[in-house]
Amino acid sequence: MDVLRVEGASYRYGAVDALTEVGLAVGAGDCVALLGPNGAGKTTLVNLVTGLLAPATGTVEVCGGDPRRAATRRALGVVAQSAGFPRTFRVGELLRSAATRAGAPRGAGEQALASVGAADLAPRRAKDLSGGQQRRVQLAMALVGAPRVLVLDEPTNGLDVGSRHDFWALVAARRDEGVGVLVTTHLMEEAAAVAGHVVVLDRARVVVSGTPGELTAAMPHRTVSAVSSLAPADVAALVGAEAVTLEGGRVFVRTAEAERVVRRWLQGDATLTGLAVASATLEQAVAALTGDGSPASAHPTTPADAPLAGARS
Amino acid sequence: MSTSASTRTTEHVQTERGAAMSTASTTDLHAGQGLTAAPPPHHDGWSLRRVLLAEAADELRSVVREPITLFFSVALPVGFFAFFASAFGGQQAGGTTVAVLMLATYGTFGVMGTAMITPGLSLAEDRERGWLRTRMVSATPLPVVVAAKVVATIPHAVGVMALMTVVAVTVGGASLEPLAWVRLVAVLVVGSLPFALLGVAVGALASFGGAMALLQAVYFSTSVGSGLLFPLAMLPGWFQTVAPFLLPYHLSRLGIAQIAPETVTAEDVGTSVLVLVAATAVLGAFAVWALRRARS
Repeated sequence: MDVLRVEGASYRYGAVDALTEVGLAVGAGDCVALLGPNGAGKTTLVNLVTGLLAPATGTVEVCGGDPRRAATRRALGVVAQSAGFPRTFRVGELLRSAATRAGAPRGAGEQALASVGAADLAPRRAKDLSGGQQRRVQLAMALVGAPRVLVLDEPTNGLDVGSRHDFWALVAARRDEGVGVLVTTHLMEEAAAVAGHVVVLDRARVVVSGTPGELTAAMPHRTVSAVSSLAPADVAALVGAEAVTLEGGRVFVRTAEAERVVRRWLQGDATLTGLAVASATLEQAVAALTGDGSPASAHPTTPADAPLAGARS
Repeated sequence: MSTSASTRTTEHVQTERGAAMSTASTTDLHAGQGLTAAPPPHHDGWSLRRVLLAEAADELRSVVREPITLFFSVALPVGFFAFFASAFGGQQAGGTTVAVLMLATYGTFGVMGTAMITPGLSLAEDRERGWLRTRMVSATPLPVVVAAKVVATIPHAVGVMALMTVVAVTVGGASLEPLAWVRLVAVLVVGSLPFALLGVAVGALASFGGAMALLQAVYFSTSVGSGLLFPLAMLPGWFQTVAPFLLPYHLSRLGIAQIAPETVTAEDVGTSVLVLVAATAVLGAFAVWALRRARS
């Protein structure tokens, strides 16, 4: 059953199309990642889904209801980009109030806080918490009403690797309990690790959707890398590849014929070590699909891009 | 997302290697999966009264913990009142003491400031910090969030009036019937609604700093112009011409009518009631428009 459904939704800011006939669906226990460059329409779509905006055309439904209605939003938990906690409130007070607003029983706030491993934060002022701790508190507030749908808007922005890992593990646990999750993020390899489905927005439209594997498998190029005694230009001439770069002491060759490149490189450089072949990353696939040629998008796979553990791919 | 095939308008494109991928599907939904009725939330203890009280309690808690708010809404009006009541409170005016009349005028000053500035600044700050957005996507309707900010000013305003009364009795030697005091407080609290609506509208539109400047300017200028801080008779003649066009003047007239009815005619009371009701309607419409604008 779909717990979140967007069908033919359009929205305009004045003369600017923010969304044009966008559709997506999130089932119970599924996680859908909404990807795309800045200005693609992700935030507008999140605003439609959370009831902040009404679509000009089309429909948005959360558990069959209109998210503009407060009663419908009882099925919704939201983690916004910015927490904006009041200056004078302690975490425990925020969670108790959130529980009341959600119609949850007494003690639900403390339980939600404990469920995200943040019970010890209850006496602390929310504004004094670190970024990772604030995200945990936000997630606890989103979960306190036992929502059917979680909407996470760039939830790991500004977090260190450890905090991101912990956050996604918590989200994956809720997903596995049957909560539908819609997440927007720029950290696409993290999205690939936690989301079973990816929707790519560009210029207000859905340009592609599928599983992360489908998106990356559709990319013809792979990256062959190794520590070589040859200069990048010599490697390019040897293996017959055009895109050869040197980074961190390793030579990277982007090619559609990885096997041929490996054979030639091994034959032509007897000192070759650390040979690795990597498929296109989700970030590279999305960049190719949206025409986003930013340097970050073009970088080959590195160990830091590896999917996080504890989340379903 | 469930794995059932998308079959309606899904197109397929061939990538460079020939792999097919679903693309650009404006209705890329799962075929055959119709929506069912919304399942009940896991928790069903939601009640408007409970949420409104919790929201109001949160608002009151944030006011009590905020020294700047307490200074402007409590210390300033009570301090002014103590100063002038100690100087002039014992004098007689129209069959009662000046301290008693000042309880109505300074009471208007204190209650309108609480009603207008506290929810206005709270709303502006919530907007600026992003906290209002968090509330707007929660299960609490926005009108309840805003109403709670206004409701929270009632105990706050009653507290200000109680402090002023203690000062009036101890410093100004005032004597007042308890029932008259209750009527005075009730009239001032109910009559401060248009000021609360103005505060909400400004808080929904302006930044925190802008709201602070604008509301303080309105607060002090209309208070002085209405003769709340200094009797109109002590001010230049044009103040008496301007005062009837200002809302605080009419609220203070209604307040005075509760404690010194002989000083206000029934016609004046009727006029002041009409002015405040009309202002409530106009400022209410303004507040609703401002909140809708803030929401979008």
